[in-house]
Amino acid sequence: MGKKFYYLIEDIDINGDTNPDGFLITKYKINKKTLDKIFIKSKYVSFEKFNNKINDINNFSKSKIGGVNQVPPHYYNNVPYMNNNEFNKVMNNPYHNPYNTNQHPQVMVAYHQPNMGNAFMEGLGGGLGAGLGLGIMDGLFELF
Amino acid sequence: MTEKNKKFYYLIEDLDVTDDNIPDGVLVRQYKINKKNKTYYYTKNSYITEDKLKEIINDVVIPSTSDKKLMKTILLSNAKINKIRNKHLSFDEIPRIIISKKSYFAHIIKNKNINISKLLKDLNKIIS
Repeated sequence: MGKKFYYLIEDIDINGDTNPDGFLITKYKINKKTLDKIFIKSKYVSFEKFNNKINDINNFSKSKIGGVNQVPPHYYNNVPYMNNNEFNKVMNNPYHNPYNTNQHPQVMVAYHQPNMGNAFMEGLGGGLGAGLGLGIMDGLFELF
Repeated sequence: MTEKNKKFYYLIEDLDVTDDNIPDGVLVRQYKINKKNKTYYYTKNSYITEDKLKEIINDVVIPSTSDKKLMKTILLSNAKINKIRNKHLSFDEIPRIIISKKSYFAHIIKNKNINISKLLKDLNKIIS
């Protein structure tokens, strides 16, 4: 069985204008015995690239099953963003689940900038309803 | 507690922003530690370019006659950094500023004596 990776996505300002320009994606594993997070790598992805990646994934999944409206159910499992408070809980407790889902989420999104809500929506071209869900794992894996 | 009195810690990591797999600068994570409930509070992130990092470090280098122990508090092994991030190190042992020995930019800091308190002030200023 392959290694299970987790991805924590945060907004980040790169050009110093205090507006987020893209996402900082932190890839990590969890040691099941010690419950330690093992941080592997952090990567910056611009909103544009992230958006394109999500569109590619969604388009591919649609074409694979031959129907625009027949997107696999898990692509609708949206990944809602969390605030700083929830983010800190996740950072302090490897299995804190901000979404109260049955399974511990492998992708979590946190925003720190006050105006991030809008940027996030713009960046994803359709926002949380864009089908960002477990399907995003494919894209994140490729980005690393 | 006023902003001035808050004791911030900084974790510095390499970051590639041009997607060529070569770090272009560093991500600085600012956090606080609540020793009573043993919790880290990550407050802000900031990206600093390589040039800016060099400028900051050059500004805080102190003469070689000074205490060389200071530099050991910045460059740490990845294993030790992971221990810190997973709270396996006593909070009193945690350096205020951490950067990996394996960092692409470690050479900028290596073998230099750093004025930690000045560097803390500079980082605080950049992030706030």
